[in-house]
Amino acid sequence: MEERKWEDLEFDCLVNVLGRVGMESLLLDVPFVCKSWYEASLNPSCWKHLVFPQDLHTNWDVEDVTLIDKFEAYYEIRTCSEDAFIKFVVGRSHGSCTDLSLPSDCSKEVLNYIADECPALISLSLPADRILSSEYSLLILPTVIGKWEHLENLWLESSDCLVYIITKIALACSKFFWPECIICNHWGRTGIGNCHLSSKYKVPDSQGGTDGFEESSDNTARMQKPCTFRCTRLQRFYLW
Amino acid sequence: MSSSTDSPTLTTETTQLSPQPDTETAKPTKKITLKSSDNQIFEVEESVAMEFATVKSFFEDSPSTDTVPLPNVTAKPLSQVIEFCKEQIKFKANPDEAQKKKYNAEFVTEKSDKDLVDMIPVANYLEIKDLLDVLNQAVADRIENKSVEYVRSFFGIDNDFTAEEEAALRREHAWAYEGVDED
Repeated sequence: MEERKWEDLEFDCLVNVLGRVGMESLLLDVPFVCKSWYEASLNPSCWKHLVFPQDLHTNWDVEDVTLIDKFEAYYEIRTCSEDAFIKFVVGRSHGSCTDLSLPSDCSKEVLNYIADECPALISLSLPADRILSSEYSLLILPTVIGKWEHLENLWLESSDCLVYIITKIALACSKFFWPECIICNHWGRTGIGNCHLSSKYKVPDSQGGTDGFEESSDNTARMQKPCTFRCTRLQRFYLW
Repeated sequence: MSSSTDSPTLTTETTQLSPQPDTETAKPTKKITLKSSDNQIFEVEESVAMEFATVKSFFEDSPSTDTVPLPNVTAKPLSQVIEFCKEQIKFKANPDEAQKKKYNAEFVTEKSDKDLVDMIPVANYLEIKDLLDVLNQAVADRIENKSVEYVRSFFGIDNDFTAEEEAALRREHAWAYEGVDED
């Protein structure tokens, strides 16, 4: 009996491997390995876990070639905006994306697109709006978060209006404060000192231990209205 | 998804659900013989063989046999797969997540590219999910951000694209992209 060859490997198994190689390889290399790999790379399951590089396009360091630069060169595309690139990649998942980490400076349009196109999302990581950003795109978060019915983990980088956003999310997600919301911060508690959360929410410190959160006098907004959205699974909320 | 392609089992549910060996260590452990495609014989303990979903269902279908032929599996990857499963049995008896993680990491780091690549079809065929996860991740890590040529030689894959086909593929991607970027 001949040894089985990789080209003939069961499709599901190949897709499983390709789903783990990372966005750059999946976009630029995998499709050109051979025909069966090309076919496999089109399978939405390969695009379930999407981690965009923090700096997609604009880079202070001109020496650095970003993913979009490579994408443009590879496929001979004249110019490619960040929004279009994100939509293109997310579109490949055909709604099956469960883990998504977005780059800096995401526009409202992209967030709206993701709210509509990624109903299966379980974990979402969002960086802060840039200081120079013209719009606070994260402000639309409370209005779109209800569309991710299965969302369990949310990572947010500090933003100028973080307190406002968190308060709004609390209203949008019925389980956000219950059973037990975990708030993490890579730098311990410093970045969230003014978040007005009560003591029952635990703050794991950088070593993974937990620490009671300070009681705030201003936490009344959180439960005034029961949620009117459907995002009932959100249990972990991380700040970074 | 067709990841669990269990053949229909004819035996009753009860045998399938009975607890695995460690509760009955008093009994002499039953050995099962596996025969690789290159006709090598492997004697393994029943508990190890039952880690292979394919072998398990083979036994459920024909309980009287004692040698299981594995026509798709050669000796070398099979011996490595058995080695892995033996360790996993120990972790089942004595759960220690940290140790298990450490073992799994070491298991793959010390393997050559070829060993890993050869083991994946075996783990897939025998339906050993934990091992497949470990292997798939290890292989993915090794080819991440490597050139197309590197990946081909890593897996021993021949390029079956003609130059025209490859160019057409690039254009196709560009079109697919431009379809998104209308505004």
